[in-house]
This record gives sequence, C-alpha cells and structure tokens, in this order.
Amino acid sequence: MLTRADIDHLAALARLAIPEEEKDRLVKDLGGVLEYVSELNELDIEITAADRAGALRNVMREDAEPTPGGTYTSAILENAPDKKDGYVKVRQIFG
Amino acid sequence: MTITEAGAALRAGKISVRELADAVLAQAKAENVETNAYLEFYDDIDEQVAVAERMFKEGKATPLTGIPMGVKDVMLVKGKLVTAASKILANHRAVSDATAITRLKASGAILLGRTNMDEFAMGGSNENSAYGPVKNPLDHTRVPGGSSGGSAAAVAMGGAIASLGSDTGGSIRQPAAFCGLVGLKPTYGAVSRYGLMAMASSFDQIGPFAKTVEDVETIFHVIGGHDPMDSTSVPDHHPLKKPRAKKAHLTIGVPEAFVDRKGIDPDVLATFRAAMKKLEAAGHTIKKIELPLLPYALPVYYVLMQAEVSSNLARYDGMRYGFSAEGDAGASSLAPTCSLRAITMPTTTKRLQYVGRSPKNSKRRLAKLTLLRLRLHQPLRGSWGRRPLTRFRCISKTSLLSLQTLPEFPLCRSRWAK
Repeated sequence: MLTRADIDHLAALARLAIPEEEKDRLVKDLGGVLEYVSELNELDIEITAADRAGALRNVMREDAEPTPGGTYTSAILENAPDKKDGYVKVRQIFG
Repeated sequence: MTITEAGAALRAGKISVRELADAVLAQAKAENVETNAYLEFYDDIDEQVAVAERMFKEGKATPLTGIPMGVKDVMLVKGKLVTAASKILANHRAVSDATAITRLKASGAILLGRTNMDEFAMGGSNENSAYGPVKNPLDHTRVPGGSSGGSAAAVAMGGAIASLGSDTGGSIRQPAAFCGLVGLKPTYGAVSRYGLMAMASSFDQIGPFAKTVEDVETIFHVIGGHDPMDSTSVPDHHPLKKPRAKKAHLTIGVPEAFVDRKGIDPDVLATFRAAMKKLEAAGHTIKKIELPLLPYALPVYYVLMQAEVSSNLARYDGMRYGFSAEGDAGASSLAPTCSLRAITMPTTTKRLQYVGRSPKNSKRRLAKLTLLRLRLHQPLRGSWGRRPLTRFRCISKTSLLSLQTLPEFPLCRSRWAK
C-alpha cells in the first residue's frame, strides 16, 4: 500500500508541491491505479535471447549539415523565462 | 459540408476561398461562445486565403486548398502561441512548424485557429483544459470527449470542415465517436511527430477529424509520409506501406469477449450489432475471434504511457520555456519549481506524473511490459510479427478487426449541466 511518505517522496522527485488536503486523495487514487495495473503481475513474461536482440532498432542519421549557429537563437530565447547575454538563465544547481 | 464537396465547389467557382473561409469562420465564432472549442482564431487568415487563391489561379490547387481547418493546440505553428491548453505555456510561441503543419500549409489549407484540449493531451472528456471545458456541440450538457475535444467540436459545430488532433490512447477516436465524426489514429510512424508536443512518445500520433472516411483519407495522404525529422517515421519504401489490393468482400474479426462484456451500454451494443448486420448484408463476413491477451492491453498501456509522460513532462521545469516559479535567486534548482507547477497542473496530470515515477516502475519491469506490448501488437500485424504466434492465427484469416470505440455514451460530471 502507498503511504503519505511515498507521495511526499514522489512529489519531491517530480518537483511538485502538493497541498496537504490533496495528499490523502492521491494516496487513494494512486493506490487504485497501482492495484489495477498489478493484475499484470499474474502474467509470466519470459524474456528470451531473441527478445534481448530486440524487435526495435534505433534509427541513426549522419551527424552532418548542422543548422548554422544563431538560426533559431533569438526565437528560442524569446520563450525562456529568464535570460542573459544570449543564454538561458537558470537557478543555481550546486550549493 | 465535406472536403470533397467544398473542393468541388471551389474548383467549379461556385464559391470563392474567401467566401468559404468567412462563412466557416463566422459559424466558428458564433458557436464558440457556447462550446469553447477554439482557444484562438489566427490573425493571418487573409494571407492564407491569398495563398490559396493564388494556388487556384495558377492551377496548383490540391484537394485541401482553401479548406478551413482547426489545429489542436499541441502542434507547432510557427510564430503562433502553442500552449497544450496549459497555463504553464500560456505565452509559448512556436519557433518552427510541425511537419504535419508544413504539409497542410503547402497544400493550401486554411488554418483558422488552435483548438481546445485536455491539458497536455491527458484526459478523455476535455474537462481538464486550463482554459475551460469544451461542450459537445450536439448536446451542450455532454462532453465532446478528449483529449482532442476542441478539434472534434470545431468540426461538429460547422466551425471547420476538418481538423487535426493527436491520439495517444484514444484522443482522436473517442472524441470523433462522441461528436459523430470520423477520426483516424494513423498507424504509429505513418505521420511525423516532429513538432507535436510529446505526451507518450511511443504512442503519440497526429491524425485527422472529418465528416467522411474519404475526407479523413485525403488529409492522411497530405500529412503522412516519411519525415527525416522523426526517427520513428516509417520510410516510404517500407513493405507495410505497399498498397493492398482492395477486396470486394472482407472478413471482419470481432473479439466477442471484449465487445459483449460487463459495463457495455445496451444501446452501444445494439448499435454495434446493427452495424455488423449492415456489413454482413453488404456481403462481408463477420467472424468471431478470441484475443486472450487483450484484457491486459489497458494495464500495460497505463504503466508504459505514464512512465513516458513522466519523462516527457519533466521538460516543463520553467527553464527554457514555460512558467517559472518565483524564488530566491540563490535557491537550489531542486526546490522551488514545484509550488507553481502544483498550482498550474490539474490533478490528472499530477497523478500521471506520480505513477510514472513510482518506484514500482523498475527498469526491468518496464522492459517486460514493453515486450508484452510488442506481443500484443504482433497478432495485429498479421504476418509481420517476427515470430507469428500460433494462438493468434485467427487474425491472419481476417481482413480487419471491429470493436466499439467505447462501451458507453459521453457522460459528463454535470459540472455545467442545466
């Protein structure tokens, strides 16, 4: 079962603040979703060597013909909430 | 009016591009007061009309030239606001065109505006838009479905001849059903996802809404085709794209256990049966089939979709675009984005993010589920499955599958019911 501590942990990972009054509802809602998907546990899925080789293939392209620098810079920066000297300004990450 | 009819009238000179655009736009604006299908009407319709008129004059008109269309607020149209119906992106302007939009523009279609939707394309009723719910034009006390509810409502109310939506887990097909339209979720890889704001990248597809199958096909052929900008776009020479001979009589597979089950509305079942009867009367064969793994499709979808949503929505952290929480200049990047996101994101979105991040979604578990998903797909691909599963042989003996879109009618939580 989920607990309020799980919700707090997940919220921290998702950088979300949740109003206290919403937490109990989320414990219940999320618990319901997890219970629903848990019916998958009854399936015995075996991963074979052929599966590991994979049915899906990555699609690569030649790393060539780059867009000339500055083509989109000003339009992209227009959307940034904070910027300085042609850079996107973000919060401090270390210390 | 359908694309075919409008196109014929335009080519015959019975109506001008200008007259058609004005008439549809006027209808859209009048109906929008009540339905809230459009979030914005574009201000460059005159220029678009001029382009379409020139195409007719120069004999370069395509089947979509001059056709007024709506575009779901989740694909980029250069220079226009694109918000995914979220306050987070309230001021977000597209830097480039989505490939589907590039192709619509080249075909001379008239883009009237961007249509409302469930925020970040998550929801099935269009009640979860940050800009207010959309009402079903056929009955204002009901929902239009979602997440592409605005695109469906726009066509159903005569405010567009056709529109584009996006479908991850039903977001075109379900609102099309609720609004009495034809909607198509193209096979994954058939239409480029370049410029479509991602929800669950391995499921998302752009597709059309229209009034007839023919119209939907017309749009599909314009927006489809290989695009080097989307690595999952299927190359045009792929064997799956080889046109198949049209058969006069089809064998239609009906997964009976999935159709007639607990929870299906008796009217929906009766309508479905009547449709099958009509097909039978037209000379097609209805064949009951079994898909034993089908009941697991939805839980598999739930886990995979939410894991992908969780990754994709992490980009709305208020750094490169979108809303940024006010905070102390020296605050750690780990803390303050949260409070604001909590305010702007509706509960559904949050719930999806949590599940996606759940510790129970271990890498191995996701790998296993991805595998199960491939196995669920295999029978539907007929002989294309790498290892055809014998227990699904029934599928290779049918031309197509038929199912009800949803087991019940468009209900709404009576938030606005009179």
